[in-house]
Amino acid sequence: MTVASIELTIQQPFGLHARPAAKFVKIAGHYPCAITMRNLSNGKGPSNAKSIVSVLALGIEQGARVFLRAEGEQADEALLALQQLIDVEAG
Amino acid sequence: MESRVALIADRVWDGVAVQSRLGTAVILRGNQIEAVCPMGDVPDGITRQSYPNCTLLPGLIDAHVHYSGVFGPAFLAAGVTTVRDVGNGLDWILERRERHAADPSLGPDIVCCGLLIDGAPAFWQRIGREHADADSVRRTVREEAGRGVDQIKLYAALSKEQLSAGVDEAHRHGKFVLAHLGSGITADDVVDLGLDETEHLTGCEAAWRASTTDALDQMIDRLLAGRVIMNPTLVVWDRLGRLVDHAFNFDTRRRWMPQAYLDIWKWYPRVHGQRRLVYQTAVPCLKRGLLRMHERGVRLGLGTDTPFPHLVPGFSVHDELAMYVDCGIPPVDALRSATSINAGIIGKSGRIGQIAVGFEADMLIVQGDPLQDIDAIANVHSVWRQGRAIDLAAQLARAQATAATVPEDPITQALLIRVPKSDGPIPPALPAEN
Repeated sequence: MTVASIELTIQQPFGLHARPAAKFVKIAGHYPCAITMRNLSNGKGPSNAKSIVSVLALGIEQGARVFLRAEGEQADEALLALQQLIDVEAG
Repeated sequence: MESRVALIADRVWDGVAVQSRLGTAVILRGNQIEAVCPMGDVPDGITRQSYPNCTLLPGLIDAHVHYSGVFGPAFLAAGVTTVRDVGNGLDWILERRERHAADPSLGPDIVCCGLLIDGAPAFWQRIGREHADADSVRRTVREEAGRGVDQIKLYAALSKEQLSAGVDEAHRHGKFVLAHLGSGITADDVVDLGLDETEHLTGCEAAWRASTTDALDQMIDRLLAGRVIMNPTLVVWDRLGRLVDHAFNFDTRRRWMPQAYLDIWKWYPRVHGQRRLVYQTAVPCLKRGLLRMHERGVRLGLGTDTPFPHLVPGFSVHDELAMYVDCGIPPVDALRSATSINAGIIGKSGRIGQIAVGFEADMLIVQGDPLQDIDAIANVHSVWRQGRAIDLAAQLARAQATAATVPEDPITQALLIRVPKSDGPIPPALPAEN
C-alpha cells in the first residue's frame, strides 16, 4: 500500500474558498487513493479531501499550512496534482 | 408542417377527473395536445405510439424548489415537467427560465419568484436579500416585478410590518405572493396580511402539535375565509427529522445527484441535527392537520423544497405524493395537487396540468395505475416535454457527466457558504420539549 504525504502553504488571496475548493476536490476525486487533509494552522481535520463540504469546513485561509495524506493507488500522483493546483491557483 | 403523433395508453387521466378514461388516444401536434378521442377515431396516417398496461397523465409540477442547472435531467426523468423556483439568484434564475423555454430538453419549464425577500439578518446568501425595513421590501418587490419574475416569495425573518408591505406592493403589481413565515405568525396573521399561499405549513401552529379537531377547524375556518393556499412540503419536514437515516444511503435515485449534494446532505445533520426529534414528533401532527385541511376544502398545492437533504429532484415529488396518500388523502386528489391545482397556483392554468385540447404536450406515462396505487407514479415509462419524447438514458448520462462538478449556481453556493460553518460532531437529537 502506497502512502504519501505533503505539507503546503495556501497562497490564494481568499484561502481555499468555494471555487478553488471545488477544483481541488474534483482533482482529488480523479484518483483512486484515499486522501485526507488537515489544517495545521487551526487544528481542524483530518477530513476527506474528496468532499467539498469537508474541505470548506476546514476553514483554510490565506497563509494556512495544510497537511495532505494519500493512501492507496496513485497516492504520489494525486498529491503532485493537488500541489500543482495550489501553485497554479496561487500563481 | 408540424408532426402529429397519437399516444395510446391503457388509461388516460386528465389531471381533474375522478377516474381515468379507457380506450383513449391523445393526439399531439407540435408542442400541443390537438385531440383527446376514442382510440378508434385516430385518423389514418398518424404515427401511433402504444403504451400497454400504462397510464398517461399530465407532467408533474413541483411548486417548491430551489433550482440548480444540474437538476434538469433528474426532474425530467421523474416526469416533472414544470417547477416553480421559490428563491434563487435573481439574474441567474431569470436567465435559466429563458434557456429552458428555448430548449425544453434542458429541464423542466420554470416559473420563478426571484430572490428570497428576507428580513435582517438574511438566512441565506446568494439566494436571499436582507431588508432592514418595510420600504426596502417594497423597493425589492418593485425591482423584481420590473424584471419580470412570475410571483413573489417572502421569507422567514421579515416582521409583520415588512410582510404587509411586501404583500401590498406585490398585489399592486398583480403578483401572487407566497411566504415561508417565521415563528410567531399565526393563521389570523396570514389572513390579515392577505397572503395568497404559505409554505411548509408555517403560520399554521395548530397543525404542528396534537391539537383537538376543534382547534384545527378553528384555524382552518380562518384559512378558508382568507382563501389561503397551502403548500405543505411534508417531505422536507420528514427529511429534516431523518437527517441521519442510514437507509437513504441505499436510495438508488441518488445516482442522479452530483457528489457535491451528497456531501452537503451528509454534512447537514450538523446544521439542524439537534432538532431532528422535534421534526419527527411534528410530522404525524402535520399529516393529521393536512388531512383535515383536505377534508375541509383548503386548496392544497404540492412541492418538495428540493434540494434539501435526501430530496432527489423530481423523484421527491413521488415521495410527497406518497406522503399525501399516507395522510389519508385519496391518490386522485394528491395527483390533482401535483398537476391541475399546481398549474393554477403557479399561474399556468389553461396551459399545463391537464390532458385536454390546447394544453401543452407535457406528459408522463407510467406503468400501472397511480390512481389505484400511488407507488405506480414512480414506474416512469416515458416523459414528453413540449411534444417530444425525452430520452431518459441520455438524461442519466447527462447527470452522470456532471456528477463530479461542483455547480457554481446560486443555490449550490448558498449551501456551500452556510453548511460547512456548522462543524464538529453531529449533535445528539434533543427531545421536542427542549
